[in-house]
Amino acid sequence: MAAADLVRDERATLNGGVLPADVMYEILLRVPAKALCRLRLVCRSWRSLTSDPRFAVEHLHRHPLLAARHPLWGQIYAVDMSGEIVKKIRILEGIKFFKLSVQADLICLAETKRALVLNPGTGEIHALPDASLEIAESRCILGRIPSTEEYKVIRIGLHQDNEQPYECEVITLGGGDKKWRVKSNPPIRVFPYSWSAAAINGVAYFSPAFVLYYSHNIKRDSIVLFDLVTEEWRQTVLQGPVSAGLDGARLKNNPHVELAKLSGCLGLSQQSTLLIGSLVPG
Amino acid sequence: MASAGSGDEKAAAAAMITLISSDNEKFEVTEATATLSQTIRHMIEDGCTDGGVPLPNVTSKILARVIEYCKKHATAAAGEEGSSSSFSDAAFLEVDRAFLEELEEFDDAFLEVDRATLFDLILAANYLDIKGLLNLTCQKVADSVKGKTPEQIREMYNIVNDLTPEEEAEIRRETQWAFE
Repeated sequence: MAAADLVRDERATLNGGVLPADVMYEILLRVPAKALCRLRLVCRSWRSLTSDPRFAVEHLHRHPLLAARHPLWGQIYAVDMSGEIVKKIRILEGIKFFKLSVQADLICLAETKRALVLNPGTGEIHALPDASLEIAESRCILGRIPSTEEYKVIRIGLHQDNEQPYECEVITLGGGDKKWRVKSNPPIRVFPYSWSAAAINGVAYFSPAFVLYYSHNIKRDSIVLFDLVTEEWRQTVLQGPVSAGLDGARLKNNPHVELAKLSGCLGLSQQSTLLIGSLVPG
Repeated sequence: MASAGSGDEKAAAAAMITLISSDNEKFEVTEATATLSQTIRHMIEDGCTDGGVPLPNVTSKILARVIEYCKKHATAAAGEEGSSSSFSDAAFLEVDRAFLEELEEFDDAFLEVDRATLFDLILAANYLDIKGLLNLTCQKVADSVKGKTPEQIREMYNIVNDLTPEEEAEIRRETQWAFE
């Protein structure tokens, strides 16, 4: 009995060939991100299993991460659903005052002319080519096209002079030509602050620029759509549900209508009111 | 109704499968129980289960446990299908919840085994391709390693640290926050 137990105990090793690599893979997939970082130190085979990009993608599906940005230092943090920081990501030298745009598994960081795309799971960083536009300020929005699994970044750029107030360009991640494609302008002016743009299912949604509220008859909850598949603006401006009736007075006094992606739907929030709609543009 | 009943019985009788462990013990199980294993399901579909299914990688001790798991979970699956038509929604939800709780208790008790048995169950679940059992057992191991230091894990599982000091330093640099 004792002898048999000894033999069995000896067999109970994780990397001694008893549990094959595919089973170890299954086990490590179920370990939360922060603990997993620590377990990379156990031995070489655990390290190489967890360094596999396929592993990173599957692990991220099971243990979703949030990306957070330090307001001063320009450091990116990946935070898991229990609020623990699982990763600090160093950003390329010189990029400091960037904005974030996030899809399921990628983060886009952008300054005026520069942008890069980061995979928080693997820590991989892809620098995008510099903007082709001569602009004073810009915002980038990262979108994903489900049918082709392509990622595209759209940049809206502002000029200093008001004659030519904005421009827009698009790039495909991993695309062959690696060039920004300059696109036509939206039907009405948009300027996407991080809280007034969202990309869902291959469509990017933008709020109109502030200036239009006063000089034009544009409602604050208007939504302008850019189709990331055809890379064209929809000519029809959608009217949001806020101005349609319920809260017209409040809408007038509080200009901020925020757009956000919530569980695959477009969410509109205006001060204390949060509306979640699944917007399927025709 | 009567003829349908006898037909079902006949089908059920015909659908018994014999599983043969590595130490040559025979286990007779229903097809519903056996087909929780994708490996056995494919063998049944290919019509190669006559005369029993030899499982040379699974001992009788482990096979008995695996069958215990499959029986319970096959009943659960059948229960879900059967009860949906015969209960009102509210009653069905109630039954469903009670059943799920019972199943959870069963799973917890099922995992009360020593480490060697747990590993054997994982290997059997992997070989027989039983998703639920593989998930259950792998999660148990994952839970047992997640709060431990690398040293504790190496000790627990007799793992030899084959990383060079340089590699170790590199990993520590990459993942410093995980050790804070």
